[in-house]
Amino acid sequence: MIWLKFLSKLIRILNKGATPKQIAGGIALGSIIGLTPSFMLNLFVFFLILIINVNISAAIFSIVVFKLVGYLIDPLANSVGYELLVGTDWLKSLWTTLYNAPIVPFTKFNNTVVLGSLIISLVLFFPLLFLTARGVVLYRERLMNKIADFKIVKLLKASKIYGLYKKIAKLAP
Amino acid sequence: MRWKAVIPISIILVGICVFVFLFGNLIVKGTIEKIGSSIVGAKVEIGKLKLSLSKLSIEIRNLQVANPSDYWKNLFEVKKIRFAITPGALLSKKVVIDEMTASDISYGTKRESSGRLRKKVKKPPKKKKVTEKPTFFDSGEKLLSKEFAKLPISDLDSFKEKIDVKKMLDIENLESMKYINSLKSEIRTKSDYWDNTLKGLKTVDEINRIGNRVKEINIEEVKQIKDIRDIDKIKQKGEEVKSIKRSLETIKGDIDEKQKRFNSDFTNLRVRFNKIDKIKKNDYEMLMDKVRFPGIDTKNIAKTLFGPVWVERVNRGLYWLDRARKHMPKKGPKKPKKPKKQRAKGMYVSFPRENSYPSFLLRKMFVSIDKKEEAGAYFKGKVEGITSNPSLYGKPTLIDIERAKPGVSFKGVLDHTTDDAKDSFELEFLDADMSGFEIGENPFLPQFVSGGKADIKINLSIEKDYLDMRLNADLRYLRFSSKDIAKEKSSWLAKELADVISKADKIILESRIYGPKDNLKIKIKSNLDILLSARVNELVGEQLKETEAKIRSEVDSIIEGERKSVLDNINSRKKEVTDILNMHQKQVQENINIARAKIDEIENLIAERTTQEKQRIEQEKKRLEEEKKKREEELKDKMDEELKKKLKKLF
Repeated sequence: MIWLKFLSKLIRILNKGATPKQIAGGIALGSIIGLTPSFMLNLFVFFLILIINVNISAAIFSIVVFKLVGYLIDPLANSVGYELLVGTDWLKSLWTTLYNAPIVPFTKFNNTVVLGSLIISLVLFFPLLFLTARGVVLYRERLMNKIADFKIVKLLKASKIYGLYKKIAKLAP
Repeated sequence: MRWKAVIPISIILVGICVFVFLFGNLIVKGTIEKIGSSIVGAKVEIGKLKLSLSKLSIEIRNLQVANPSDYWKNLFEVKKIRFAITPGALLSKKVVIDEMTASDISYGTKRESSGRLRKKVKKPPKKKKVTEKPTFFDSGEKLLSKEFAKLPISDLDSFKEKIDVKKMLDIENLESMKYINSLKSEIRTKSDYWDNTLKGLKTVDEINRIGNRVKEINIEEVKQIKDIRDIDKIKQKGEEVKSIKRSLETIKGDIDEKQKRFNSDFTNLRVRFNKIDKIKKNDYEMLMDKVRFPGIDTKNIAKTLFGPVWVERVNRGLYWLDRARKHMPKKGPKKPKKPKKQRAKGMYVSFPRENSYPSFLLRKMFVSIDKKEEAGAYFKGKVEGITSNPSLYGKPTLIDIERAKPGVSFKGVLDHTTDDAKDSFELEFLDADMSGFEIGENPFLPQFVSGGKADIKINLSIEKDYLDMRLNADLRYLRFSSKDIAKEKSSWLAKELADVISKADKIILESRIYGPKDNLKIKIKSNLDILLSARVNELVGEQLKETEAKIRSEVDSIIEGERKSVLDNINSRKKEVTDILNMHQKQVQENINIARAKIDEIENLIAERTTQEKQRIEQEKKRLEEEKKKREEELKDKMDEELKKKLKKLF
């Protein structure tokens, strides 16, 4: 039921509940949490999601999706992290400074997978931001009405489960 | 900005702070107890822990660390520990403690409950690799079993016990007895052989029968043969006697040959017999070795007596030293390795911590140790520079603990700032009261010292895997409790040793345990060696002489009887065989002599007859020549007359 509610909310947001920028911001920030296996770093980004006016449902959706993606790209992240931490001499002074700086070591940035994933998520951040914002706009302009006319959507709306859900949703405070 | 989110976040943060404030003490206490227990292998308990978040300080009261080898005692107990963590360093994920105070430390205290862990801390099963390096403790155990498995003076102790020489003599296993038995067996074999050999000889009757054939030849009858033409008959008789003589000579040769062999056998038996004395002497020496104590070597006594006590104590220290070294940090930073492909785990890369704090640093720890049972025995001191990364910190760990009166000082330098880690310790006792000092389980020393003073200095250094530990002790007026000496297990030797040690004004003990981790060696030198050696030799000397005499007498009485019986046997057999052979020889010789006489007579007769015949032939020849001459002259005269007649007719 929670997932159904969450999906319904997500569709509602996608349709009219939030601005494309809010949705794109949530997706982009959520991707960082999803991809990066660092508690401290993720806690910081999570606070950002809570404080900045981005869409939280979109961020949660993004975290789940990119968590799965993260497992797939772990080997790549590991290689990227190793290359940056060990293979790139000119960066060593930066890492040493960060390593000796306050708080930063708690992020586990000196772990190959953490750094690799963080770099990959940062590289993907802006493309995700712009593509998602553009995608939401295009969806609303061109696809939203067409999808509403889909038989399966109508069927779903007419189903007993949907009716039950609506009743329960009305009862909720 | 989403302001409505700030309030819930603030509430959550406050909640966390409240949780830490309320339960922080329990969490930290539980963590320290759990980690401590897993390291020590016995219960680590904290009476009370007070965590102050504002000052970042921790105060621990009644810390008890149970002894893993005796769960009803504490390894040590600390009444109060107090320290504060530097906040700035904590932000860099580093724990830096400028000052720690550990006061009222006591050790070996009794526990009210067992220190055994309820659940064993699950550790991954350690597979002991063949290549695993031995620890100093392993090596110390090896040293203890190798050097002191059998105390050489234990023989000395058993020596004093009443020696039952008869019981000790295992007659059948005496070499001389074995030898005599083998000699007896050989004599039996030889006797059988000679019995058979003598049976094979011609009997005296047979010899006489042969001899009678000679006697039967009557020389007078032979002499009657006058005719020279019958000389062959005489010769035939001569040949007959010669043939009998040859037979007799063959028999004599056989007897001579056997006599010769018998003499050789007998000589061999005598030679072997003569060896009995030498073997008996060896037996005697061997038996003496059994009872003779292994020489009171002046170099051995102190090592034998104090070695196990010393090594056993050192080993206890080495056990904890090994454990400490195992947990001591290695020189960092580590070189990054090629990452293993571990999904979602990755690899942590370390970077130099120049001009930075190590992950853990305790700059100074002030300690005070209180030994309750000794009034005024109050230790105090400090430990400096306990760190997880000595090379980064750049300074060794220094330990300096001392007690003013009576003087005890413990100094240590643990230098792990370079790859070649070097640890050194110095422990010094000045004018220490030795009463109550436990020597430990040693069959030759009383278990406790009841009085005396000592200056003891112990130096230990470990560089890489090489250990060098020196002990210098001046022990003065050591006394032992009479109860302790007289207890049942104490042997006479233990009592004598206690007496010697008690009478010595000063005992100097110098020891060194040294060597690489896998091969420790020990040297112990003491003036006690000379003192004890003289005393023990004096005590043992008389008994040794008495025992020697007993052994000699027992061995002699056993072996001499056997020896005599063997000799009698040899001699009797010799006489028997010699008599028989001599009798045969005599008989044969007599007959040979008779034959030889007859042969001489016959040969003389033949010679006489031959001479007579020659004379007769010469006379005949002479007669014939004379007759020939006479005839020739007659013929010549006749022819002359005839010629004359014819000539007359002609003329």
